[in-house]
Amino acid sequence: MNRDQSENDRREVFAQHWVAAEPSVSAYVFAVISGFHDAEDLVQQIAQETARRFDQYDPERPFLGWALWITKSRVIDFYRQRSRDQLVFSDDLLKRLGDVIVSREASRNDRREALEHCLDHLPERSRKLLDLRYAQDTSSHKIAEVIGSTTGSIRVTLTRIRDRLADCVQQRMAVEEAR
Amino acid sequence: MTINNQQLDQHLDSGMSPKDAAEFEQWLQDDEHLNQLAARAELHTDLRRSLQRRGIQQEAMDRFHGLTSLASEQHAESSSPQHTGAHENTSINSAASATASSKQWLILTIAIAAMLLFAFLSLPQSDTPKQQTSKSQELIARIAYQQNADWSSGPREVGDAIDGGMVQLQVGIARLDFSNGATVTLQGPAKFEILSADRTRLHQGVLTVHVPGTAIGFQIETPAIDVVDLGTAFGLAVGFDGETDVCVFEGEVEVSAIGKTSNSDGRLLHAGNAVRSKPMAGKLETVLYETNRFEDGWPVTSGVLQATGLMKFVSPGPEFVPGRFEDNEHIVVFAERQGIKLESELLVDLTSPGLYQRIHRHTNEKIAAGTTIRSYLLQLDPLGTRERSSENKPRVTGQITFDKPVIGLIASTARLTNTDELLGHPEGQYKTTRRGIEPTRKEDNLGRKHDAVILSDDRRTLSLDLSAGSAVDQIRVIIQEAEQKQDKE
Repeated sequence: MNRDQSENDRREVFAQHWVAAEPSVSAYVFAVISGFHDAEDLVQQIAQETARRFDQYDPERPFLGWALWITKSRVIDFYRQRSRDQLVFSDDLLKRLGDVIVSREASRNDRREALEHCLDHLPERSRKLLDLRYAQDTSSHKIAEVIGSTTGSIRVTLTRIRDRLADCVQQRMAVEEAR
Repeated sequence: MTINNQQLDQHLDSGMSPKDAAEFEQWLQDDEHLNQLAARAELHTDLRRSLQRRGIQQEAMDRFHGLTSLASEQHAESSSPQHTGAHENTSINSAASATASSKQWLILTIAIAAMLLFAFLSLPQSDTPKQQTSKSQELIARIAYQQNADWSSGPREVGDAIDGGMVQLQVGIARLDFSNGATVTLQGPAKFEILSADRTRLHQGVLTVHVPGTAIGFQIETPAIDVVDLGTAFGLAVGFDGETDVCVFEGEVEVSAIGKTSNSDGRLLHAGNAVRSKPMAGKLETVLYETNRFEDGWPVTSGVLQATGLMKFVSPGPEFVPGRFEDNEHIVVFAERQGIKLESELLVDLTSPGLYQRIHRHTNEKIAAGTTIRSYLLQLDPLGTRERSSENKPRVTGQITFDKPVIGLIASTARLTNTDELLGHPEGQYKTTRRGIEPTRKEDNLGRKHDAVILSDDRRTLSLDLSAGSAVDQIRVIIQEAEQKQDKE
């Protein structure tokens, strides 16, 4: 399985593009599909498709726009396969969301870095709760069961922690900007 | 009408009630609101990725700290000096670097994933990547075999489904067969996590894995290295401190050390090579190809559940193939080909369970076309140290149990030779001279030893009882991987 130099180059170019675009693609998919397992599976499929179709990508145009175009069709496919009673974003809404995501791209990485910093300064208990939810895939319902609380109260607490992180990120961005 | 963050989180987390959904859609008509949704979705995806990555790092660190504090309590006399010495540097830096480097981690992880993704998509045979991205409820893996297995979560049975999440084996051996064809054998104590149908994580312990063409791209992460299988077999060992060894038995894998900087030092590793890395080291160290640790799990991965008596499964690696490896002491078992779909019927010497003292080549038994098979070669070195003419010929006995039914045995020289091309190991060197269990040599008849080949009623176990001086040389065992189906494709 020898790959020649041009193949390696192509691979590297794709990797660079995907690394830059992935957080935005991921945010898009998370926004329109509930539950991170389905969302993550879909992002993986999109990664495969963009890699497979990479030779169709026009390097004159922004990669994210192209990737989001593929993303949008995969999301629509996903909606079709799924049960009816769940929320479906209209075609127009999906398109407008794409524009919003593109407009947020420039500062996307700064916000991610800020979040890392904010996470480091989170109180131990909040961090633990987030870990349970995000790293260990524990549902709010299950967390409530384990720590002897109610699902509603866990949800509220998680939202407050997220609010706090969002504020922290915003403040940090403002400070960085002021410099 | 307004949607608060609580409701946004509800939507992102698990979905809204239909009543709220209608309001939500209305609310999103405002671009500013759409922007709020995008910001919240960013937060969810970033938290997910960051906390997952921090989790696996932290875990390795914790284990390591547990180990060092234990070692310092015990003093130097009982703890291995080599072990503690080797990890001093990591210990000092670990806590600080765990947080400082996490943002590079994020970028790096995606970069590696992207490179690997592209790598396997570009392979010619994978133009129809049958990526079984787990549709939530789809079966990911099953326990195919276990031996003395003690699971942390309580008893599990062969055939039990494993849907994903953490799997912890305290002791024993267990084989998990993935729906995409990958086979993973864990040796306890091991902590293994299934993230999706083709993405897994070995937190600690030893495993061997075989990945057929259908599962190319199967990925195993450890605290120190990401391994992507490119259609092959390899062993992976993760120590208490996250130090990882990768040992490639067949084919090639793509390995990338996970480090502090973005120099991931990813590379292609071929059969017969091994590398090692520590968490955050960011570089791979080439080490001696050494398979001892994998020799309990490897036969199980290869479809041989048990081999007793003088029966011995070869070590994993490119050197251990028929004709290149000889062992006078044992009946050596070589794995040859897997997943061969017969295009025409195959003539063999024996197909039914029972006890056989002679295998006659003129019985034209057949395996039907369309059957998908796997083959093994059992070999007793006839030129060994034992004297053929000696009065006290030792008996050579052994038993081997396969994971799937034996549907044919080939023991005549002509048929062995005829099937070498189809069923032999691609790297093997096969002789063309006499080599089967043919009772045609005069000395066998003179010896009147009662050689016996027994195929059990369930077709899983083959027993050999042979006099060492007999003409026995090689038997090819044909295993049924899948029944023949009409229009399988």
